[in-house]
Amino acid sequence: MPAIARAGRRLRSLIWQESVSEEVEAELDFHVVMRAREYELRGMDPHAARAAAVARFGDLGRVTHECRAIGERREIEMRRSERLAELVHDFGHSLRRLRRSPAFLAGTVLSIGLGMGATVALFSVVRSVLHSPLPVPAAEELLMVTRQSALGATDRLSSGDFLDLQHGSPALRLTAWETRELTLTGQGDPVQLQAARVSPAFFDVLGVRAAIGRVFTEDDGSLPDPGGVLFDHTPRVLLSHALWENRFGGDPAVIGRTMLLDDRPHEIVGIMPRSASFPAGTQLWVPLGFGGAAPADRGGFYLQAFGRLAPGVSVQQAQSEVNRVAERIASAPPPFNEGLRFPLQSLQETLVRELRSALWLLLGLSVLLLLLVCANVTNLLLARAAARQREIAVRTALGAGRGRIVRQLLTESIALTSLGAVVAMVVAWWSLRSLVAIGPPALTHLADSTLDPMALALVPLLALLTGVLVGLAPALQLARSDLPSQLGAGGRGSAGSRNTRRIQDLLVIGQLALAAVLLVGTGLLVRSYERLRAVDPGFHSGNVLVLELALPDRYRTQSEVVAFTDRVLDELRGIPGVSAVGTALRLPLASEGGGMFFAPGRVVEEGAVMSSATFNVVTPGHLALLAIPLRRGRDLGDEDRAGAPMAVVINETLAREHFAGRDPIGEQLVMGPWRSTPATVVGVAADVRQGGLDAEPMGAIYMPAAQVTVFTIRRMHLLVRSSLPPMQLAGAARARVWEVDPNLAFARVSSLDDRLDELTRPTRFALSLVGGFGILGLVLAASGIAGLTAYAVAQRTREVGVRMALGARPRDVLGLMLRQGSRRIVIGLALGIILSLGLTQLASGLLHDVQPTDPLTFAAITLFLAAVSLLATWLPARRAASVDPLVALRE
Amino acid sequence: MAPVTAGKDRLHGTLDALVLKTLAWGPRHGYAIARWLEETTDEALSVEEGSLYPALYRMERRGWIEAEWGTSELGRRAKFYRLTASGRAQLRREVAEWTQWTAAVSKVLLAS
Repeated sequence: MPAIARAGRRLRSLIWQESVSEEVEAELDFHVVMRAREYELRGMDPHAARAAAVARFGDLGRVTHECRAIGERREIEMRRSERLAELVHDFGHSLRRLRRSPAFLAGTVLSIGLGMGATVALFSVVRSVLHSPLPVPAAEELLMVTRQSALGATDRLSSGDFLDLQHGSPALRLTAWETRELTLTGQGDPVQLQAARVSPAFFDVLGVRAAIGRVFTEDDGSLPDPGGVLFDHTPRVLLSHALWENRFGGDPAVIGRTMLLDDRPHEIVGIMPRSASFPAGTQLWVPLGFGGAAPADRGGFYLQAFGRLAPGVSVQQAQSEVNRVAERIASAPPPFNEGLRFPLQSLQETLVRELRSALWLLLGLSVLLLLLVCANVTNLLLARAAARQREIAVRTALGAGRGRIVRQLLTESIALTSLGAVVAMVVAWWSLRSLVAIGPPALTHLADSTLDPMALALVPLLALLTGVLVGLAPALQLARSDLPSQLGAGGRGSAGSRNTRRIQDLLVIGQLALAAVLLVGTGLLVRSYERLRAVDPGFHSGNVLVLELALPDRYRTQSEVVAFTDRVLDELRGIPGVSAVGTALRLPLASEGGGMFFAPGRVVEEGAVMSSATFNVVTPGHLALLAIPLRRGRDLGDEDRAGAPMAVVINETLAREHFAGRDPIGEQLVMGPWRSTPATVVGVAADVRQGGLDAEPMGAIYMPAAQVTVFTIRRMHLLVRSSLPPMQLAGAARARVWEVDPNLAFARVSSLDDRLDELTRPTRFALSLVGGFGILGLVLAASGIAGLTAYAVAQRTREVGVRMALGARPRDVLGLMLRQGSRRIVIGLALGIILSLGLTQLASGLLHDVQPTDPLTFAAITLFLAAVSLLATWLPARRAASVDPLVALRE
Repeated sequence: MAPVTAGKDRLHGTLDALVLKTLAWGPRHGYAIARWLEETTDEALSVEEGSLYPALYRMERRGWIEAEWGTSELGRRAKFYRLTASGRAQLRREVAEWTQWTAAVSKVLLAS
């Protein structure tokens, strides 16, 4: 056979198909030859004999083809079962080997489990929060209606706005809601429940049905006595699933029964399913009905609204319709509707907007951690692999193919990561629960505390991927090892181990860089948190008890509210240790709530532009109670009663902005709802950070509760300052309030300090997470460096022995190792700094008053990491210096 | 005992049984199997080569026989087949079915 054909045959025989085909041909050919011989012996000539032999097969080609097909199928089946048996054997073998080094096993399995578990948990959160924050059909059709005008942007509408929109915009099916508290009585202690007043179409628009009973219908929205109110609700109620389980024991017979809310019997018409938690935290829904005064109401912005796009309508069409309604409203008085627009936003988007970047950041962090863990494990495996070079060389010599060896080694690493995966599931479950428990409220409302099924499916995939990732380098290294040098004596210093060292170096550099990024992030957050806490809030919060109340509707007028307040404050003053009491509509630093329109002067013309400021409705002595410094004039006092001229206290910012250069005391202001009655400024208070610790102070107006007659302000915070720790007084305070009205429920009882702490909760949460990651990253990087150095020392014992025999001192050897280790550290840190400079820009939203490139933090972290890394290099290197040259040379 | 079906399988089954029985006497290559059957039946049975080899490959796949390349009596390379343990069991089954089959057919054909 010509050389080329032979070569071609040899090449093709590398592919198994050809070997089966060859065998079949050879076998059948043998048979034909034998049969032909038989015929020849009987006298036929060779040609005829052969032809007759072939003819006995019928169609020889077809038979050959059939046999080959069966043969190939058999080959496939055999290989498959062979591979499977190999795999199972390798897996068991790997587990047995791993058992022999329990420290290594425990360390790697735990660290892999940690990294994988964190990733899986966060992936689950990201999916459930970002992917489907609203478990309703076609959630992308739901649009939130916001309001924009000369007054600013807000997400609240007035009743008039809403009714006009409902009328004039068929492209959207609209519904409105308002949150309020309702007091439940008649079932033990009075309790305040979070309720939502929703227009009847609410659940239809959402696309949610009741789990038991029914949702609201249009009938539920018609008030028995519309009269002159803006809106009210009919006495029917839907319970949330959680409330139903907690208060009614999950009894389905509760439908049709009544419950006393704000002293009105409400009929329970349905129970909502567990997933229906919109608006967030709602325990009850009651049907909103508009009263006679609603269509004309333009000035009070209480309602939030959203709608569903009608079939076939696009967002742009809905937007232009809604803008036409806005134009019509703006063309009529009052003048502050100038430039009115109703921008539509995706409802889902508004729910997740704040969380999105934070969540992706967290997921990125945990992937980073996983990579760090993998780098460590790879390093460990590489070190172990070096010890097995002889074993592998022998195996190769005995006939194991390269592919088989690589498969075997990969099976080992996958066995390792599979064990890690089991740990990961536990870690994921636990960390998910803790995340949801300690996380900011925005997150906890949306995140499901059970693992997303896709996240669970991720676990085996991750185990496989990390197993391959971690095992590939060692496996390839080993499989490539140079056989003769391994089998011979002193197989060391070959190209293989040089490559290994390079990979290990790269891994450690990568680890250092990643750890640097994590620690820089931690450092920045720490500084940010400190800055936040160092901000002077403008008042003194110690030892103040806060009881938050919302009075029920049976307090019909403001004077009734004031009478109640007077009695309660008298009672509270009687508690031993109490030094000052008062009420306030708003707590300092509480940012929710709208503003008040005002203008300096006695009279304001129709059409004049007014400014806005935040306001608070307080009792006399408020400034003293909270230790807010008084700059000029006096605090509000008992003389500012109903009937007396209206007095207000303004803050420094407002005085500066509107009465610059003049003494504001005695000046007059006209405020929105009291256009005809100007108020007189009696004092100027120091600024309090009303909008939160980050926000600049705005102009603020303090009004006496006794003189506010247009509204009935039923929500209030009772403030009690004493010499004792606030919570010790809580029981006594509650009891005194109940003596005045036993059917009142407290929304919350806490100390002012606790409330302030809550404001820094998001930063603290981020800090503890990133800090945790940072510490883990540091530990991993340090142990990686230490391990690598120890390994290098072990590898170079001989070389060290030679050096020392040639006169080097232990100090010199140590210095040598340190110098070589330092190179890695420098490169790793440099890389880490560069990465950090880029990445921290992404997190600048979380930082308060700290630059993402803050030099102090960067410098401190660099020094810290350098110190730790040098220590991690020095400790193992010390052993090199203590080597006995004779021992080393003998090895 | 379960009834034996009459169909193409019966034909396969018979050939399989013949081959298995042949190999019970010792390992043989395909040509030797064919010659053995011809000789033992005094040329009454002439095996179709076109069916023999596919049958051998099928039986090898099912694990009743196993194959090994060796050297024939004349010094050429040939593929030798040998009975396996499961092949022996299959042979016993085939013989039992065959007996049952012939008894049934005889009852019909030889009834007067």
